[in-house]
Amino acid sequence: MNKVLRKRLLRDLRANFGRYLALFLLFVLGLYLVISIVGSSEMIIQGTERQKAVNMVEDGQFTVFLPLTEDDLSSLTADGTVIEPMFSFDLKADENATLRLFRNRDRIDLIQLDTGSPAAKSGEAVIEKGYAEAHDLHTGDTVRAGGFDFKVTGIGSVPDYDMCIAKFSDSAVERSAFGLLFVTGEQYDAIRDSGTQNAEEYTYAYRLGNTTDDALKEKIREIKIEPEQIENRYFRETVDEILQERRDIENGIRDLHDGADELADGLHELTGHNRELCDAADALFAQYLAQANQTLAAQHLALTEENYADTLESLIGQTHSEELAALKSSLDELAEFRQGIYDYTDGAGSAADGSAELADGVSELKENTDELLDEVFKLDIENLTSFVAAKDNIRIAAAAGDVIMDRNAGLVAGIIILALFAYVLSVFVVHQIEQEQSVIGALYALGVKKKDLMLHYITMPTLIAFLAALAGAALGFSFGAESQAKDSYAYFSLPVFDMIYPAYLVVYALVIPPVISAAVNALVINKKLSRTALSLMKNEQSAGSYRQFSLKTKRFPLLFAIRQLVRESRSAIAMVLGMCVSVMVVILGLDCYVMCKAVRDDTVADTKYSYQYLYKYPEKTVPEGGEAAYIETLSTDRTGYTLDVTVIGIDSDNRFFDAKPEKGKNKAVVNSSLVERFGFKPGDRILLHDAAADADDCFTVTGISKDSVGFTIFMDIDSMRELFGRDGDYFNAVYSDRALGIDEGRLYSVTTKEDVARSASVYVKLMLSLVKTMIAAGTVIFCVVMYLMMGVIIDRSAAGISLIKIFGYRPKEIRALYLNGNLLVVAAGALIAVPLAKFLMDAIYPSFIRNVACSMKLAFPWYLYAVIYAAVILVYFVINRLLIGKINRISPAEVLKNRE
Amino acid sequence: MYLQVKDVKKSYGKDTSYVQVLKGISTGLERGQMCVIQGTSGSGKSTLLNCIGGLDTMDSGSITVDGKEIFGLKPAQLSDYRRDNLGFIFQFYNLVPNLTVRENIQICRHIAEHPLDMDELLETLGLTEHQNKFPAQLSGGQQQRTAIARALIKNPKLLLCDEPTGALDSKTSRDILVLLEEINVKYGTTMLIVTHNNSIKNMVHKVIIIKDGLVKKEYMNETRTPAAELEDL
Repeated sequence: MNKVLRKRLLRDLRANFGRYLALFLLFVLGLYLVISIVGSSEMIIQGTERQKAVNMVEDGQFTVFLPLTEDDLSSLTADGTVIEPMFSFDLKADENATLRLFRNRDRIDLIQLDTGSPAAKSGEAVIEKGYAEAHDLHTGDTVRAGGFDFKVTGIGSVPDYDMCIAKFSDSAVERSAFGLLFVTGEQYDAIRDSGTQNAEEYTYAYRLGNTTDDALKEKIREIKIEPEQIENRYFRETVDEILQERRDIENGIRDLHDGADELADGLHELTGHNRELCDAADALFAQYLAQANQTLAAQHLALTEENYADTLESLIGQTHSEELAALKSSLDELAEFRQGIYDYTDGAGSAADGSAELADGVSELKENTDELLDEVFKLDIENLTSFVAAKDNIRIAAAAGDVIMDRNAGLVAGIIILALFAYVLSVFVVHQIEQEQSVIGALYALGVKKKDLMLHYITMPTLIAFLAALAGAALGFSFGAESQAKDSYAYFSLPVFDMIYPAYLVVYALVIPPVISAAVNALVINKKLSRTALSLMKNEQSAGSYRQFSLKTKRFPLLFAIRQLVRESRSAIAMVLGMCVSVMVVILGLDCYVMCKAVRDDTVADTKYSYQYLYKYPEKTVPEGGEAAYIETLSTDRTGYTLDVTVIGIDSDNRFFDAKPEKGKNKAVVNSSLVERFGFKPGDRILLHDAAADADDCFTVTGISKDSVGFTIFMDIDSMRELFGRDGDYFNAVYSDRALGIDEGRLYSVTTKEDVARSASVYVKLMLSLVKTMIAAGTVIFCVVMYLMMGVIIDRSAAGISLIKIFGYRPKEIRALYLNGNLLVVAAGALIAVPLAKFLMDAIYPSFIRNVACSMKLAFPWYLYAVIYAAVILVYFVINRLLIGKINRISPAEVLKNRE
Repeated sequence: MYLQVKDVKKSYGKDTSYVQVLKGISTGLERGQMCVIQGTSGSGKSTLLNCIGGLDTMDSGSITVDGKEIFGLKPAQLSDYRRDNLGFIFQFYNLVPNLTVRENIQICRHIAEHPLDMDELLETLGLTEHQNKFPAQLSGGQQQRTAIARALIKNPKLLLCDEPTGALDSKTSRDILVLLEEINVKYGTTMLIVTHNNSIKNMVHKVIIIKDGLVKKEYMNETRTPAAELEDL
């Protein structure tokens, strides 16, 4: 029996070839997309992993002020750690581009050449492939940078610039604006020594030996540099400023100390004659008293120091002698004078004692101040300026990180799409069973078992799914994955990875589709095959098959359409599900586009400045016309990825930002990107990590800024200085609406508004092919599913159509009865499916951009909804038109043939 | 003559599978007559009915209904012809399963220019109490009554019945035939009935016997037996 049934499969295939072909192609398309997305992701993820060993990818890198000494290196590598200098400086190239110059590499982050050979002599260079592509450079061409010509001998990539961005804070790759150049050591030195270039970056890459990142970092931090070793003019200036402050304090204390000593000495000297002065005063008084006694000798009076005042007072009272009065007055003055001398000498003695104490105190102060200065003005300057472990380096394995979500989303989406397709397939199988139920009944009566028929009816869908899976997987693995990976190749700087065939993906591709198809179909047709032989043979329609509801409408076409709709609810559901899934795919594409466009437009609109100067060596005075700011980069891992958050300290009257931050070390205004991604509102707290200080900072949101550039929070600049322990006048960024002519050697970077606009446009360009693919795939899925489902509705209604043709219905009337009901389904379905798909996709979308720090404006303008809706209806009418022929081909005699 | 069939030929297939089903049939029917076409299986009676009903095309010959030639009509014209003139009753009822009795009848009422009164017709056919039931909830007889009501609602001039009692038991068959008889009287509907049943020929005005694609015999019944008295149904 099974053999006979198998023969029937071929006949069924021939009879419904078009339909099966469409379903086959639908499955192929689904599998192709899934395998392309997941396969390309795996190719990049596993390729990156494999290349780690080949290219000796670093475990991390660190940058120092001054190159390490041989002793330093020996100490750091004693545990087996390998360290290689990756010194570089940036050269200006044509079209305002920058090429970062490196030496050829020996042990770490080796160059992977796509073509050509390494630079072997002066004048030769290997160029980073992204820049080469953007500028259409090939081996043998000449590239000019920094005033030097380089013959391109090779084109390739390095793993530490997988995401080839100039600064860690750059949000997007700009292939045409930044690239890498690798030359021989001799040429590198020659260019550096030419003195025409800006500051050299002393970066080292390491591969850990028997140690950890943290331990290595601590060891590097112990390496100090002496101010005298500093050659860079601006760094030196900064250090000198710090040293000058110390010197000023030291000099002041020293002067104070010396003054105290001098004072003490003087007073000591002064008090050395106190006795003599008192004795002289005593002698003067005694002599004058003696002279008075001589004058009054006639009166036998003896004046003493103790009695002269009373004695003379008495005599003056008796005699009223003016001479005696004058004598007394003179003696009083002398006594007062002598007392003054006494008081003076006492005071001078106390002052001498005090100044001696002061001198001691100042000495003590000086000692303590020296200690304090040693602590405060520690000029044991750490050589380390930055330390980035590979896992925190956004340039390394960036492409692999970027596609992880694609892989996961692809696998899940694949299951959903395959289940939908399987359901679509099951609609046909159910239709076939309904058509053949009398035959099935007869076969049951003849002893054929249900499982045999079940097997028979799920064989075709399973076979189609399997063959489609084979074809889809073959196409996906052979073309799709490579093609899909082009997006990554076009953005990241990657070597050409070999296609890989992960076992799980092969199993997924070849097993899941037939299994889903078999399972869905078995589930759906099980009930159909569970009826009794007699019931099937008699073609009985169960009264319960149709919903018992009455329709009050007097409009027969409407009534008929509703009945038809209920009867064909399975197909209608498949159609609406198909619509939902396909609209979701389309909306995914549109979300991508809308978001990238918003990032571009908002970034440009929100960038109010014309120039942003980032200082490497900050100045003391804000250049005229500039607006000072203080910028630090913290990070958040709220999405599971470490994402940079820029903290900008500004004055409240800053011209270039709308944020009005309050004073307070933990108060911040968050920008709209953070609000859109994480839903912050005033009063919320935001916890950010300060990698440099290895500490967390918690901020309370006090306001929301319209600014949407990256993830940014704004602080009051004074509060921020206080938080990060900076001077009251510190700034490291200046914004301006005109060029300020700041010395480039002092700067880390200059970013113009045009740079920002160009950088923001990258996303749109990058995502455009994905957007087109999604819209095309969604449209194809929608068209095919709708065509098939509307087709099966007509097939299932062939007898009815034939019947009403017999009664004399005209084509237009037939369409009204049998197709216009679908319009209700599509129109109502789209009304639900479009917003539902948008809602679902918006809910899922953040998971696709977890590793990107940007705003997420997904709102569609109203007309886009209208366009999607109109497109759905348009597709319906086109398909409707195509199916008219199918209706026309149904003969009025069809119903008679089937019944006979 | 209301229905005039002249030298109608019809064949199917080509080469080895070529079969000429109608080999030049000629016959006719007056307005208001009931006529039975009898013949063995494969004799061509259903093919003739389909050709008259404009459901199948003939190779040659002529069929006129109420003076209008249907040979050579385009599908759209045939559709209008059926719409304006014909009613059909089938052996297996061919009711639309997801429509109620009333709604099934509405199918034809919807396109009729001068439909009969729905409620009156339901009453006449004894379907009033079943009008909101689906076909699966009805007996065979009730389903056939519904099919008759559907055919009659647009008050057709010619009613084509293909084995109208073929799927019914004897009693129900009689009921249906009585009904057809009453309709013939009440509405003056011309009826052409294809049947294997030998008894039915006794109730109609005219009998046509077809064999091997040709009219073997045709005659008018001198005396008709009322349907209610037919035996061996």
